[in-house]
Amino acid sequence: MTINDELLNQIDATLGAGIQPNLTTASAVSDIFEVYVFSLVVRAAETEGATVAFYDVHGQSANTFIFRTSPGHLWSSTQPYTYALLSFPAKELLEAHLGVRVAGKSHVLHELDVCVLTHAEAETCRRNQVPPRSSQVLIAVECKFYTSLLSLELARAFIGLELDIGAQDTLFVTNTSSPSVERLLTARNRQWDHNIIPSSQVNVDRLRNTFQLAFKNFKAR
Amino acid sequence: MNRGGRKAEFASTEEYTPKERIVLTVDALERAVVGWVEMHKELYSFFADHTNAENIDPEIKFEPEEFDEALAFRLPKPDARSLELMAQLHRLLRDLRAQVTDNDN
Repeated sequence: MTINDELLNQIDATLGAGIQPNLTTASAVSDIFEVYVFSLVVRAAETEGATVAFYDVHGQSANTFIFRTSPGHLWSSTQPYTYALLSFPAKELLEAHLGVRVAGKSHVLHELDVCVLTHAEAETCRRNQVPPRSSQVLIAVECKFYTSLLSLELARAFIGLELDIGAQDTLFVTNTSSPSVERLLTARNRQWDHNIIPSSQVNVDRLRNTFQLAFKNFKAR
Repeated sequence: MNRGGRKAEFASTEEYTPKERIVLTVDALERAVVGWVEMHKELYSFFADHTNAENIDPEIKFEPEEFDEALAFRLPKPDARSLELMAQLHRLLRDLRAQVTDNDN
C-alpha cells in the first residue's frame, strides 16, 4: 500500500495550524456536543411554534450564555447557568436545561445531559432546592461524543437510566456509531440516533424531527 | 483419536490491517476535528440568532460547578482562517480515504 507523502505532509501542516489550543480537551468537545444537541431541541420547539427566551437561575434574561462543564443541580447559583424557556400558545411553560440532576422513580439522582421539563417543576426546584422529578421530564437525552466506536456498556447503562427515568422521550444520541450498541438499543425498543454532526444533514433532520414529534404530542395533551 | 462430529469453533482476535487502521484514524480525525469545528460554527450561529441585543456577538462560556475541577473556557467566534483550514483538512482526509480505497481495487 502506498500513500502519497505530499498528502500526509499537507494533513500534518493543516492539523497543526487549524486546531484551537484552548479547545483541545475531550471534555470540552463533549460539552460542546451537548450544547449542540440542546440547540437542536430548542430549534425543534421553535419549529413547532414555541417562543424561546433564555434565562439564568436568578430569573434574569441571559445575555451571556453560560453552561456547566459537569452536571449540577438545577437550582445551583454557583454560576448564572443558562436555560431556555419554551412557550407554546395556551400550553404550560417548559424549560430546556443542560447537565442537571433529576430524581428517578427510585429517588436516585441521575445526570441528564439535555432535558426538557415543566417550568412549574423547575420553579419548585429553584425555590426549595430540590431535584426535579423524572415524572415531570418530557425529553431526556444522553449525549456521547466519541472519536472511536462506542462500547456496549454505554448502551447497557442507558437502558438502566431509561428504566428509572421513564420520561416520555428518552434518547441516546452520539456523534459516532456502533453496530452492537444500535442492535441492543433497537432490540430493547429504546430511542437512539447516531452520526449527529452538522454535515450529516439526514441524521440531524431525523433527530430534530424526533424532538418535534415530542413537542407535537405535548401540544396535543 | 478422531471422535468424528462437527469441529468446534472458537472466536479469535484479528488485528486490524494497516488499511483498516488508516481508515479508523481518518474517521477519528473527521469526528474529533472536522465535526467539532462544524458544531462550533453551528452553535455560534444559533446563539447569534438568540442574542437579545442586535449586532453584538454572543458570548458563550463554560463554567465549572463549585467542586468541579474542570477548567472554564469560552467558545470564541469562529474565525474565517480556521474554518478554511478545516474545510481543507476535510478535503485532504477524503483524498487519503480515497487513496486507501483505491489501493484495495
